[in-house]
Amino acid sequence: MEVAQQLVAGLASCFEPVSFLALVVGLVVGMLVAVLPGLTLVMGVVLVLPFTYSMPLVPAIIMLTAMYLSGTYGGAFTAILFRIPGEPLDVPLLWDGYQMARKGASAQALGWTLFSAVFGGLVSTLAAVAMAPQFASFALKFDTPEYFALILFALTSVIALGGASMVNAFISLFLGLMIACVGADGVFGVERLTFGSAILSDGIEYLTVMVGAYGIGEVLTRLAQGFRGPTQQDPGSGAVSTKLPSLRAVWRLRATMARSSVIGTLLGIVPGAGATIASFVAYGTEAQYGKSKAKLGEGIPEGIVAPQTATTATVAGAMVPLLTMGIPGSGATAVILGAFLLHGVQPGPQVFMTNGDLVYAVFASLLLGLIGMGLIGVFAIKLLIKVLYLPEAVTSAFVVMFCFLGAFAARGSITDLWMIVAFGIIGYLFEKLRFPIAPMVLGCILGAQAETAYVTTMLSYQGDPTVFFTRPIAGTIMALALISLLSPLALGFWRNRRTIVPVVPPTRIP
Amino acid sequence: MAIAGYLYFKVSQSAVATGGPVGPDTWPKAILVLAFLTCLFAIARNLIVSGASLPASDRGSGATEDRRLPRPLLWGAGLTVAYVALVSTVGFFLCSLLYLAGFMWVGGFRRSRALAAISVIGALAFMFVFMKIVYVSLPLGTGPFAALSHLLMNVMGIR
Repeated sequence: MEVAQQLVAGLASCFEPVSFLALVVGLVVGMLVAVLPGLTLVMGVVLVLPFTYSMPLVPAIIMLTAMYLSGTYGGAFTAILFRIPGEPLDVPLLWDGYQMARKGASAQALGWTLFSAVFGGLVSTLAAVAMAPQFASFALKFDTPEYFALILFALTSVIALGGASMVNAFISLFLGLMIACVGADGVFGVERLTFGSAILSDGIEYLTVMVGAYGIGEVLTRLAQGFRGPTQQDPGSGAVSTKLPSLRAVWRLRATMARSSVIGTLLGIVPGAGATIASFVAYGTEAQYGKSKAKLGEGIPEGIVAPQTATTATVAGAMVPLLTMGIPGSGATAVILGAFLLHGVQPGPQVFMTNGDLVYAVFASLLLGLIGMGLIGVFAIKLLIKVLYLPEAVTSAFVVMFCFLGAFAARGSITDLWMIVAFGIIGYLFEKLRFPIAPMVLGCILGAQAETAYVTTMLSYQGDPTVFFTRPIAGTIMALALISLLSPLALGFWRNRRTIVPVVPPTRIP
Repeated sequence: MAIAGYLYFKVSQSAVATGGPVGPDTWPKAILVLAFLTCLFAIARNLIVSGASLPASDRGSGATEDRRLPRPLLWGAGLTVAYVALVSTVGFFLCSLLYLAGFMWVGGFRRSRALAAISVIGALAFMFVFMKIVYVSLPLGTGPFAALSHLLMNVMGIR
């Protein structure tokens, strides 16, 4: 009852003019970012971050969260209409969505996408609202060993689920953790790895690492591949419309929607999994267990509903560990955590007591955002999709300018510009050499917290490392971390023994 | 491995007597040891297992790829470095204008009039939004460049 009251209060705060404007702007910009193939969702959230510096905390978080939400939906338009996935998470939508569009059913395909996004988002937001207080009260029992174990679990999950070589992922993570070590440490105040430079004494802002690696690095990667010109394919203005499915058709797919909502919400909560993995897992699950699995890939609604429901469901799921424990599970939530910290608020269990209105305003903004996203999807998409006709050289030049301004605006330091250029080049090299960027970024963000938790534990427990394994909660989380790290190795070994059995049969993927 | 070894040496120099079981060098040293061991594992695996039997993602990249860097990339990276080097002297407006035009040109956008218009309008819009609305103190440049920046600020009503 108390939760419902707070949610209503959160809804009311979302209707305050600044918050409402932030919500609308966030939804529109998120859609634009998702539509443009040169911009990734995380990069978009990073680029908007500097505009939130001078905003109050609630509208700032609402704007970034709205971007995150609509960013999981906007890319469906280009995937279905043009066969251009705006994001990796939109790739499964190509398989059935584009096939439906080719059969002349693009409006129905877009209708299914919209319905699935709203349904998945709604289910996961309500689940998150119900779960978050339990998570927070559980997290209140945590002491430093538990926090260290939790951070370790987040970092190992990012490595295990990153999809890249584990060795490369580990090296990326260690680089991020070392970057976090530069400057004075949080417990003793002793400077490390400053090389006598006054600039490095303050440490390296993880914002510069994120902006450089995700923003500049991505632009350089695409520049090396050659920018594309304006989109040549034109679906015709009449083709860009959305036709919502009938209730009977929706009822027929209830199992698919329920399955995918659960997959999306759970994978949203698990650090490192995120929307892309949820999208592929939901499609793969449909390919294995769905009623129409034999027709998957031929252009049937199940192939749209499964990935889109799961993708949007990850957003509210990912907000649970962020708000209740201060653990970002994805690139976008890492940026949102950055916005919290820039406003002097550390998300965690205490935030429910000190800033409960903020937490429920975020959840309420997700509910309102789903409605707004649906309205934009039906009425404004014809206008938004015109950004596809912008040459990538133009959008990329502006992306780099936004990166510069974002880094400069934080501290007004030219040094930070040098930092983002350096991390941009590192980001480009990482892409080229197939090193994942996410472990480095999360290592930068969580490194200082991990060190403080570790050192404080060692000081409190007389240097006894077994404390991480003997305390019930810490031990359980450490076991989960170990399982998450070893499971990909075990799975790889098992697959090698039994020949490769992919989750989605390749023959089904057009 | 060499970098990890060097950094281990540098971190050791920050060790101070804390009287406790851990010091400020404990955590970075632990990470560097793990990084060293990871590299050692990768090298040993590559020596023992032939490259062909490794997973594609572990094989390293570029074995069959062209290792030369594309010319647009070099120009783009060079422009980006030049922007950061010159923005304090030339000022935000002029430097951004030149950067936008240069980057779009390098990226293959060759419609001169549109390129010029987008660059001028873009640089002015950035200056207006960030100085007037977000209150960021952008670099104004020195000498005649500062005079140009002040002139534009007066025109746009930025104080």
